[in-house]
Amino acid sequence: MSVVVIPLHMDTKSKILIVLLGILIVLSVSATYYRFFVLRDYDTYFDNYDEVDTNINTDL
Amino acid sequence: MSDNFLCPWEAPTLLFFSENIPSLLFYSHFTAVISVIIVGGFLFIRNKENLAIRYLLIVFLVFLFWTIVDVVIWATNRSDLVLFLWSLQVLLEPIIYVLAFYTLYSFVYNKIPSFITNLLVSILLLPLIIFTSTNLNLSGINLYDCNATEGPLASIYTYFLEIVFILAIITVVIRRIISLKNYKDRAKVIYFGLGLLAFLVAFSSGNIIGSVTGDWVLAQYGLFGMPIFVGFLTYLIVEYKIYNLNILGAQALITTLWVLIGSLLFVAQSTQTKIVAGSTLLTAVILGVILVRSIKDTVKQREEIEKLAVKLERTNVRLQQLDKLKSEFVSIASHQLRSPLTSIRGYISMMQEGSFGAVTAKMVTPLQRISESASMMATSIEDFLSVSRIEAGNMKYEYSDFNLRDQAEHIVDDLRPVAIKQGLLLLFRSDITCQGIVKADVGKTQQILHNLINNSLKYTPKGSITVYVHDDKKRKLLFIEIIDTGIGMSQVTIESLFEKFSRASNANSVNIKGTGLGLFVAREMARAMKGEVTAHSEGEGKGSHFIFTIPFQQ
Repeated sequence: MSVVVIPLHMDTKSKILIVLLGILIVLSVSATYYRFFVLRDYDTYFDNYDEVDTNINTDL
Repeated sequence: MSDNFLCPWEAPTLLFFSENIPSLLFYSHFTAVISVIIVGGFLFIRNKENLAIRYLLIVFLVFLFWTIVDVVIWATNRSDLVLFLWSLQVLLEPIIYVLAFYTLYSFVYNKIPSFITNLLVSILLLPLIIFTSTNLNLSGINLYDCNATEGPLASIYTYFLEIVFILAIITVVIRRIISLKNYKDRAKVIYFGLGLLAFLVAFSSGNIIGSVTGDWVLAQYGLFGMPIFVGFLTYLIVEYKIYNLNILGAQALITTLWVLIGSLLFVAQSTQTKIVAGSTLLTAVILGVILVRSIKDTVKQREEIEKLAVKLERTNVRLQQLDKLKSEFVSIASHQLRSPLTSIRGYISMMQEGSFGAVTAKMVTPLQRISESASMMATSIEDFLSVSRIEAGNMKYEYSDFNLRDQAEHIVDDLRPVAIKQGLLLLFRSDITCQGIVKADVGKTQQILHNLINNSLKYTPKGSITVYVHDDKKRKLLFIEIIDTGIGMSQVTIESLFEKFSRASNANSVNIKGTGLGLFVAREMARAMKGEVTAHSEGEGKGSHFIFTIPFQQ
């Protein structure tokens, strides 16, 4: 498999910075995936905006 | 921890098709996606080596991904998928703005910002990346409409970053416009900057409206900023040829856009969408026709001008070759004439001196005329040779220090018999405070003075010629003025006097012996030695006044 690399004329320090940011983004996306698909750690409620006090907290 | 909760509508078909999707969404997303694919694809094929285009293509790719993710969020009824993709969108949005900033910077400066700027951008992005998976970003979801509950990261920090990068883009555009002098370069920066800002501001506005009001249907209008940017980009490409796209490319691009917008009429379900699509198509057709017509004219004119420029250049090269050939011909011809003429003059001189026997009284006048004509011919040949050397750039100057005042006096002494013979008074006056030493070519300086004094002798039927030498110590200049009481000149004549083969309009009334090259040669030689020759006259019949100026040595 070949990887297409687009040269963006950056200095070495900036390239290192981009790689670090890239790693952080991948980690962050993985953590988000883990939170929502594996842990399912989020609040859910049902609000149809017309009625008051109809919020249902389904968090266990 | 909770189970996977579903929103109250059916699961989508093929990931994108769902009853929850508002009719406007397909239209807004479809138009933006198609614009990006067409223009991005075109630019990628034609100019992938360009730095700004590389960044622009990344912007387009991230934007495409964002748009596809957005459609999936609208279509799906799974709360976990909505929250995950919504989080991704929050992360992607500011990255689009960062990339747009880099695109503009590389378009304007053809390089990327410094490491310090890159570091600053990274620091700004860091909180966003770190807290994407936390409650600061998204804390929950309303199962009634599958809308996420946004935390401060999504509803404040993201928009803060977007505004920061919009301001950064505005700053770069303004600074560049101020620094650029060329009108065309300025226009390019303005159009590109305006297009990009239209897209970013519309995009931000849509998302901010969605975040603040919770009306995400209204937010879809924000995506119309992308076709606007693509429109600006197309105009730039065609009008300023920024990415080598010709008229055919522009026509293909506009026609494809028409077909794509028109096709929406057939796929749209609601009357509202059909009306919006129909009116957009109509506007696109009208504007497209006007645009294609105007650029067709412009491109045609430009191509005509380019053809003419090429033709003109060829003609110019040919003329230069002909001029060179002419100079070479004159040079060769003059050299060939000079040798036999020297021989003729030598023999006549010997005959006049009686080297071949006594000269009879009848022979004196003819020999005198032959001698004079040969001398005149020799002068003319010298002038031709000088002109051809000057034009070919072959005139050589041998610089040395000498006393120009003394040289001028000698020349006046040499020419005095000629003046006396013509019944003229040739005077020499000197009023210099310096020594009169100049650094120049002696021979050439003598030739200049000879030409100027001879010129006065030719065009002065009666009266006097005064050679007046003086200096200006402040400007370190030596002046040799030749003032005559001759036929004078009009202002019109003076203006063209130093051109080749130029003679005063009243010259023929006095003297027809002259090539019209003497003054041209004198001025060119004087200028080559950092001097100058000027002519003055109060009018015809009021005498002439020539001034030879040259810097003196202290």
